[in-house]
Amino acid sequence: MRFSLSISFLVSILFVVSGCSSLKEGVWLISTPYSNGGIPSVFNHTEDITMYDFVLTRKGDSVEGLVVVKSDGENSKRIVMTSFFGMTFLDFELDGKNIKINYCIEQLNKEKIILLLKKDFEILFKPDHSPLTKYIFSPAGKIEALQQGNGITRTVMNFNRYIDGFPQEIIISHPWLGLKLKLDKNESNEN
Amino acid sequence: MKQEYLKKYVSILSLLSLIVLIFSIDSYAQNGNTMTVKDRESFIKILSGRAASVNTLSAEFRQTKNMEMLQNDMISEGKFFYEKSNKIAFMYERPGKYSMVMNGSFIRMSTKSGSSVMDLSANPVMKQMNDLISAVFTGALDNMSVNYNVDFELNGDKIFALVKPKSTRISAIVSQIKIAFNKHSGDINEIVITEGSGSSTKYIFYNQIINQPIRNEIFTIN
Repeated sequence: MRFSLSISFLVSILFVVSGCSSLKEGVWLISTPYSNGGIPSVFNHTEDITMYDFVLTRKGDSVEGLVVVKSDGENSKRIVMTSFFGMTFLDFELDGKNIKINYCIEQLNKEKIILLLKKDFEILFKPDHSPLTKYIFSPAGKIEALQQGNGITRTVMNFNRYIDGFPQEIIISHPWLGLKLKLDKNESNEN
Repeated sequence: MKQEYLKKYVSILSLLSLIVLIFSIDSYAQNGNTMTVKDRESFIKILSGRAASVNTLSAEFRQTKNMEMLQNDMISEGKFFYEKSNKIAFMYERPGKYSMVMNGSFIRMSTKSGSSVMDLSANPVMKQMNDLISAVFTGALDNMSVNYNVDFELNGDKIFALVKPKSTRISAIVSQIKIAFNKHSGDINEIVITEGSGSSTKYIFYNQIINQPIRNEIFTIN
């Protein structure tokens, strides 16, 4: 009896720990009206070029710069992350399924980092990227937050400051990795 | 008679061709791409003399980043400061306010989100990058031959230095730097950095003021 109580207690702790930084109030995709498509977008695919200021933070260290996204339809994107001072960090393309790396600095050139960024941007461009996603919607029906996956690669996204139907601030977190990518819409378009 | 005339004609033609050829070679040496060894040494002396006499430099700069995916370049502007011998600051003003300050082996980057400081001495690749940037932006190229191939081209009133890293690790980040100098004064007019990605960033410096006092706070790291 005492042993099974201890096990139950440990299992409860595990559930509590795994539930940290999770969308407790969220609803699964299948429970939304969007289980067959039509989920509200958090990215404006009609803009040819979209720019965000970004801050990538991990355990107190941060890197900042600009993310430039070139859209060629909903499924074809080219993403370049560059510093404000001119240096390109990463240049890759997504087609909805595959990633093609055009350039990557040595410090970011690790498979796990690349696959993590791939997944994050795929979710950004298609919030119903996976059925295993939970959402919180605002009263106006916009996505306020979503969570996909579990364990070490869990992705949590928060969408703030909606203007003209799209969030101006996007925060992408990987709680277990201590990694956060903050995107702020940059309105100074290409010159 | 006809044969003699023909011989004379061929001789004159040959002589004329020779004269044209000589002048072509001469003008190629002066206005084409190659500098003579003597001219190169003479120019390096000008650069060394400039580096020795310039204690501070203030200028305005325009940074233009070219990316294949963009129709137009991305432009930033601000102020550039240099203090002998290893202090460089880029204070960006438009379109956003941020700064990059190099002081010795430390780099501080500040944006609206805050500041981050890095000690590059622990990272040999970044240290070499820091030294490269310092040498390029101050024109002190004379000691670079150990790690870089430096070639000079003459074009009118400008001399271009082409700096290419010997290290494959550095060249994966920066494949080439092209510096445009004023031929007579050694002043740097323009720097184009070509990255391993193929993108390039151009820096143009203007309203340059030499040896004007610069506030210490500009180069503060902490």
